[in-house]
Amino acid sequence: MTDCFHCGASVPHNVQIQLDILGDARDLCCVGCEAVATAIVQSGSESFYRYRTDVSETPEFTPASLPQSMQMELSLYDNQDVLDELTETTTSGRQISLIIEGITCAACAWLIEKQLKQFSGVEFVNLNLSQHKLQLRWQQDITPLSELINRIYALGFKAQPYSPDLAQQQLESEQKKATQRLGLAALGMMQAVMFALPLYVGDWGGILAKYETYFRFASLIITTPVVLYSARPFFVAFWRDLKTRHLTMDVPVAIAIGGAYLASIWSTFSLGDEVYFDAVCMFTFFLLAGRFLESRARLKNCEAGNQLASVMPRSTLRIHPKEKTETVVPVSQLKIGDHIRILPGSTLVADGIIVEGHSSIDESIITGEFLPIQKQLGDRVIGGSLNVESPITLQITALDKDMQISTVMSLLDRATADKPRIAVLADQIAQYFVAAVLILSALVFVSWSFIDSDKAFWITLSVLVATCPCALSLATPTALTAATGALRREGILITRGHVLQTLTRSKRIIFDKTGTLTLGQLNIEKIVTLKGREEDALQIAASLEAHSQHPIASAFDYSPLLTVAQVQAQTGAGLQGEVEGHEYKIGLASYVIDQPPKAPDNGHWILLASGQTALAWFLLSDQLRPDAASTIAALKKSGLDCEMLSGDHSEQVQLIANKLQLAKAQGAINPAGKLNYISTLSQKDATIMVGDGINDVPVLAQAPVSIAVGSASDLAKTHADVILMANQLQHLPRLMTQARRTARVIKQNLVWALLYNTSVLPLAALGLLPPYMAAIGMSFSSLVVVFNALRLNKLQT
Amino acid sequence: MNEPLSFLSAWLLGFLGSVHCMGMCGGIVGALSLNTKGPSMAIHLSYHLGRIFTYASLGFMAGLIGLWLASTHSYAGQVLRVLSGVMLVLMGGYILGRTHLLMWFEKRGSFIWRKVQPLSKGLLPVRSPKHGLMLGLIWGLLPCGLIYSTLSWSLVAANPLHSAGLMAMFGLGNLPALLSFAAFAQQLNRFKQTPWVRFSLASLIMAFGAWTIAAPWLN
Repeated sequence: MTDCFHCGASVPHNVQIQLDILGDARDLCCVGCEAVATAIVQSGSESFYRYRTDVSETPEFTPASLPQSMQMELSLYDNQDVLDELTETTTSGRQISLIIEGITCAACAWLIEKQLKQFSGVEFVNLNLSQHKLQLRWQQDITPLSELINRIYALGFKAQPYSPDLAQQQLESEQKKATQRLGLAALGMMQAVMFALPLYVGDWGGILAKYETYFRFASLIITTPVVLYSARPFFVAFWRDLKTRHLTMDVPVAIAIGGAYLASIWSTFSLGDEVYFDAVCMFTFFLLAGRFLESRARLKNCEAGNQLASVMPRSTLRIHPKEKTETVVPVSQLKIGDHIRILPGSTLVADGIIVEGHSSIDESIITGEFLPIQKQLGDRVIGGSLNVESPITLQITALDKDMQISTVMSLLDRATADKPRIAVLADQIAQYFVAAVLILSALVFVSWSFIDSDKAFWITLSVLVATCPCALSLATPTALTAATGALRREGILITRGHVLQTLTRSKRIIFDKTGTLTLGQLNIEKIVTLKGREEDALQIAASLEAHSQHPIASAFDYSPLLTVAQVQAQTGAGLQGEVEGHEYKIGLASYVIDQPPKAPDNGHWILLASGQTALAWFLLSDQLRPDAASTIAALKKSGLDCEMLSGDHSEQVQLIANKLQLAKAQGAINPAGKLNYISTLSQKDATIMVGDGINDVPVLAQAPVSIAVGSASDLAKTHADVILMANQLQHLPRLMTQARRTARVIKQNLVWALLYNTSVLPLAALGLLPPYMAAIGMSFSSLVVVFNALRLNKLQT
Repeated sequence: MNEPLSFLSAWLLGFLGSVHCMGMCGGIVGALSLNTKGPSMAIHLSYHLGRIFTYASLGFMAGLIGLWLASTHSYAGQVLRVLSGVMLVLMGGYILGRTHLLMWFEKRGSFIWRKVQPLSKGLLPVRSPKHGLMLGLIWGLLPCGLIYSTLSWSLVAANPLHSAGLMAMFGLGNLPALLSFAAFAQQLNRFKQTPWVRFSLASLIMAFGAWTIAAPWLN
């Protein structure tokens, strides 16, 4: 018996439907499948079936057709150490999670599962489509892992072992449970409402009122799992709150759900007037939906971070120090100082220094900067970034937890653990609110018991549901999550929770000079020739400086260089050497010639001379960042006083201050002086300090808000509240805008939530709002809050 | 409970019958959409909205026919009822893979499909919710025995609005199975493909058919 080419069901023996797909006549099981398949083929989407071809028709890839390095890497998966690290041992075999790349549809997943199941020794295969994660349980001694992974590659997909960090694992399992709870509540709600609808609208749909009891029992059966499983978190929290004597919104929620459920059961068996099964299911569903959205945003945040972890390859090419041979080794066996070879297209497995070759490196995963950056011999490169152009050899400087990328991740964790004050405030408000709600509900119940005791229960229920402060408690966290996530995607990393709030109060921003407002690199600003052509002078100077390691040398960038011989450096003075047979000196004027002419102007001038003849003056200066002026202008416009503190003694400080029109600039200040100055400023101004160097660390730690630019030293970064990963000052105004928007959204959310809750309260208390309407209103108000917060997902420019 | 033509039954019919459509239409939207990360929820929902709208329109027309027949022939109600009950029994057999009489209807129905199907050409791969909606509107007309038998069943109601509502509920009933985004869709799929589940679903549908026929006499 054949299987339907389209849907996989077996084709009944008396059915003969065939269609040309992918060049062959294929059997189909029914007219419907034929119609769909025809539509697919005719719309040019035939390739859809390519992933679905049957086992026997899959083009076979033999391991030999895989590249050599890939085969070596695959065989690594059978190494005992590697296996122990990547897999869990279960009673019946080993278990591993693989991330599969290249899955585009359900058919791919189906194909992979089916193919792997054919191997003997494979016990369990499950591919999660949304996460692209493959769970595999197999027996290594029957079929080695390398063979299984090889098959996945042969099918045209990529497989990588997956090991998320603990926090994410926890989040994921929470999310999985939340999905199940939500799904169950959704099903329950659909059914319960379906049963309840005829009761509300009377004889609609031909169902007579005499079947009410039947429907009530059916609703009871459906609602029970919803209450026991879906609503479980509320009861657990209720119990916890009782023990800790702390009120959260879970208290009225648990009372409402539990009360309504119990009362409805009573009513069902005693043939009472009202049941609330539909309201119970709806309420549970809407509450869970709100929480689900919020936790999904959090998980996404975490995943974006974990991308870093999951991009890290498991193996790399190590170069033998003496024999210069290359072997594939697992990353876990690398040591600091090892030389490794990174091929183009591969991810760097460790931080290191380039010792051979040069290439462009895509560092977007760390900086958000999409253009690859040129890296030369001796340059530092960051693990996790991607080699784009040509092979390079690295000497490893940091591995695993010490890598820059890992430091960044731990900073991110700190931010999420740090609860901003406004969130704390919201919690407090919610607590009082809950207390008020509980008291009020009791009052309402007692009052209505006197007025009309039949209505007392459902009115109290409505009050509890309608006033549920879920919008209130969602208001802040959703906004903060969205805002921080958006900033991170742009390369602005918030490492402390309070930042977004504090920034809105800031009145002053202080910049460090070198490396922050300037690029921290010397440049030739001006050349004044005394004899000969400027071009020649520059060429000679550059040729000499090419032989120096001094920072000044980097300012001279010229080609082609002339041949130079016998270069000698005089520390703190200059260089001398023979260029094309002539003796030249470059450096401090007094070193170069005995009676130097006066420098043309103030500034950092160096002189080039041949013998005792002065040839040219070079004015060296540190260049302003190209975006410094526009950034300062934008910050000023947003109402910040811009100041500068610098350790620099030169008149450059004043020059830059004038150029950028800073409110205040102080030069020649040591780290202690900076610290002193910051502490004299009022805390109320919430001064922002922007810096980069080691000398800025104390002042960054002291400032109410500290920002480190991306090129900063690691030490400076760990003390900063915000890191501009993309190394662009112009991100500062965007950060300010986002902070202010966030504050605005939070305020809107809180006002909306309070307004909604207080305005709906009288309606509910007067008995104008049935419980199911209350549940709908409650969810509506939460949705408003969530969607309002999601606006922060995009940065405004 | 004497009247099987309730919205609940319609939903149940859709739900029980969806074991059949899952292989055929389930995830199709997903598989055919341009986005490699899988289609957005909006595309899924718009597709199904279109599909359900088509069903409801078909139901509306069936209801009109039913109304016309019932008002012109006094016995039409009884005949239609029996016929639709038989259709439901056939549907059960269809799901079991035992009888293929419904396929005869499918073949008759495919002439409509051949007319409308070219309209869907420009819509694949699905790029936006608008495309999804259009595709749903068109693909709601797929020659499908399941739809035909439900349609004939809804005709018995002899009330355009009621019939349309029944068909819409039927479409809603397919949703849980067809929306493969839910976490348990994969498990659900496997569960539904097991023989005994198929068997019990099919017999439930057949029981519905029998009940439809017998209902007038049960009072």
